[in-house]
Amino acid sequence: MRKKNYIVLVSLCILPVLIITIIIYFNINNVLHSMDNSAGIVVPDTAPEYHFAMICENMDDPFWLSVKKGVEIACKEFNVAVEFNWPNGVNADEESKCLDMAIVSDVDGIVTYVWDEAEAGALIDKSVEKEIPIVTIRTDAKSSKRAAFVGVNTYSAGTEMGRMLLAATSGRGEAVILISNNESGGTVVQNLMLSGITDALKVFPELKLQTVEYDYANFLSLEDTIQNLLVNKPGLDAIICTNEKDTTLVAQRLIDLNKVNYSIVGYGDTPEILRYINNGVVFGTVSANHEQMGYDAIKALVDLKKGGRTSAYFTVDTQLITKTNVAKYLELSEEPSEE
Amino acid sequence: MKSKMRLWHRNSLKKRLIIYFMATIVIMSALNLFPYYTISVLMNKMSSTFEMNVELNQLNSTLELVNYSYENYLETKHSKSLDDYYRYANDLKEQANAIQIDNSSMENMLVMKDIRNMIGNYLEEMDAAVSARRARMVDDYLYHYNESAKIHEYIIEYIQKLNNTMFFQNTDRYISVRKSITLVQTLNIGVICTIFVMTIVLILWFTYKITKPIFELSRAADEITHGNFNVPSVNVNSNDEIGIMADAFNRMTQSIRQYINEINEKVGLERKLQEKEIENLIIRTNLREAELHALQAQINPHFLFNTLNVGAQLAMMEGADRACTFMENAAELFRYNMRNLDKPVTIGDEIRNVENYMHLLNERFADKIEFTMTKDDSIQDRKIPCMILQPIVENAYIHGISDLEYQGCIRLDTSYQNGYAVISIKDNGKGISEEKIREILSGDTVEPPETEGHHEGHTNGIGLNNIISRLKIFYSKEDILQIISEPGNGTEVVLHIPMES
Repeated sequence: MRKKNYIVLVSLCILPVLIITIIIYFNINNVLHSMDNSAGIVVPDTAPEYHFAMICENMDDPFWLSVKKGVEIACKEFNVAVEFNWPNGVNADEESKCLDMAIVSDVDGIVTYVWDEAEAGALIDKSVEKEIPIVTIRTDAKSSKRAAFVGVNTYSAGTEMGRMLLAATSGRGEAVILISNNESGGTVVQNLMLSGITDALKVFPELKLQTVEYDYANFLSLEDTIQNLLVNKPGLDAIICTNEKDTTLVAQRLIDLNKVNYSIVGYGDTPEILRYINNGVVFGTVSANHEQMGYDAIKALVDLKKGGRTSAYFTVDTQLITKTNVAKYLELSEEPSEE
Repeated sequence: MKSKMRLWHRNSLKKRLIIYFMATIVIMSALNLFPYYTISVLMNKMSSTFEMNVELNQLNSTLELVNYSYENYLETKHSKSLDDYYRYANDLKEQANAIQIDNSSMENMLVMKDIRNMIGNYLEEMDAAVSARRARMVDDYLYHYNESAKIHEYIIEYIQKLNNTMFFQNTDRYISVRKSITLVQTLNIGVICTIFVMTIVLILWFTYKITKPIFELSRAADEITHGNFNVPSVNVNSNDEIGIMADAFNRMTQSIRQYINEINEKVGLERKLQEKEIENLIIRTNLREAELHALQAQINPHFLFNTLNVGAQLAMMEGADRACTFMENAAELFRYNMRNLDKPVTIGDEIRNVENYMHLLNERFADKIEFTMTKDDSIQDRKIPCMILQPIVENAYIHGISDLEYQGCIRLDTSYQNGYAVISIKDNGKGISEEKIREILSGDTVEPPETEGHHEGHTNGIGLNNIISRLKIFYSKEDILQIISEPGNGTEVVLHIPMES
């Protein structure tokens, strides 16, 4: 009885001290660990098995953000860390610098896009000489010693867009294709897509197609270009955009100007674009599972490291999104966004 | 050793005190250590991150030194520069390997790994450039120099990047930690207050626990010193020294109480004994007195008894019957008087003695006294101390009747009433005052100094108070003798003798 009293009293003294200690510890640990997430590197929960580097065009493009999502999933799955690098500024040799840095850092593997087949190809070869495997993503350097390529079939995406344009315009009228004058990587994709579109429209001479270039580096230039288009081409029926950023911008601009009677055929499946399709601002887009691309790239590297070989081509299927099937994609896009 | 163990096993006061003090000290130390510890943990975390920045900066400056001596050598081919270059290159390698980023994030660790690898490549390129320079292979030398310059640039960029990242992380961390320091401080104040109150409560409780039994003991002891031995037993529910003390104290009070009771009983017994002794003394004194009187008369009676017997025979021979009877009665009386006073006689014997005595008196004062008597035979055999009735009758004659002008009457009645033999001796003399009766009965009569001739008429010297005390002792009963009298109206002495002892 007596002894129980002692125990109760002592534990009464010790309990608050313990509780408070634990609270403070949790607090400090939370503070010290929550701060260390930097955007540049994706790491798994445990110590990574490999350390890869990924060179991408930029980190504003929804395309690369989706790729990054895929990379994150792959990181967790294969227990690897991926360091993201992208050229900042508009210096011409920024891209090669990024890749070269990754090579000099002796990472375990590199995923890169190809801005220029010759320049990037040389670096890729140098890297492979140092026994660092390289996987190209979105754009390819076929002649280099890269181990694998992960990408959308851009040409077929272009033909799909051309077909969608036909559906939107019933095969007649005027249409423009907005392309950037980006000297590096983007143009390779654009050119492939452009040839796909023109090939699809070849047999419809009544549809007049024109390409309009804008300055990639100056983001205001696209706005000006749209403004000019609307003023100078009163008979314009449709606008084709080759990437997600352009599609979103054009749609926004047309809404701002209150001129929504143009058919926009675009690219991408961001929630914003999906909403525009749902509203009818955008007629339809061609898209691909970009997350899958990121995932495939990392998977290819892991296969290379572990098994020594992987398949040389990973292509992601394209998909058409129009008002008829947009509801399905909206549902899909809303789920992860709520996470 | 064993005894020590036992001492420790028992809940001894020493142990308890030690535990109490220890508990207080431990709690107070915890109270002091806790804030210190929490703050120092925070400070350690903070300083370790900043230390990494410092190390990175050192690495950067070493890198510059290496680069400087390297380029200097390439330019001048000076051997001192070469030495410097090798030395610094070594330093750089060591420093790069020494930097520990383990307790930072994994991202920073990976960047640091990149930097280390780059430094490795850098050193390789530089070595290649230096050896090419020494071998005067200009193309190779230029190529490697360019490569090394590029890598140098990269390294600096990465170091800056890492430095920057960590700096921003640290800044963010500092801001958050500052918040948590405020929280820690508040919590610490809370802990301090709680433990302060706890400790005070503990101390009060401990002190009360220890001193309460001592206080009770001292109070009980105080009461005992003031003479109150009936203190309630002190209850101490602990088996430490105080418990033992209380137990011993309780036993002590109990035995003291018992002892005092025993003493009281003894005193009572002794008093009773003393009383008994005094009684015995009185009896003996009375007997001695009676015996003395008897002794005084001893020579006379023997002689007189024989003389009287001879006289009686002479009178009978001469045919004087009255004289003969008179003398025989006198002889009888003397013989009775000569008896051993210690031996009890019967009431019948006593009455016969009175008859003898009265016969003598009647012969002496023929007209003056009238003696009547009624006898109840049923009480004749009751034992009675010797020489009781005759002295009473003698008193009645001497003090009551002898001085009378008219004829005196003495009446002796014996009867049996309610288990008592009632013997009444009544005269019609001058009576006794009530005061005098009380004096006689209480036994403190101041006997007048015995003057010559005062006791002239007495057959023996036995007084009334002698009779009373002898009766009292013989029957162990008070109020056996009763005196009813009024001045001028005679006196009646009544004896109530119990028939059963």
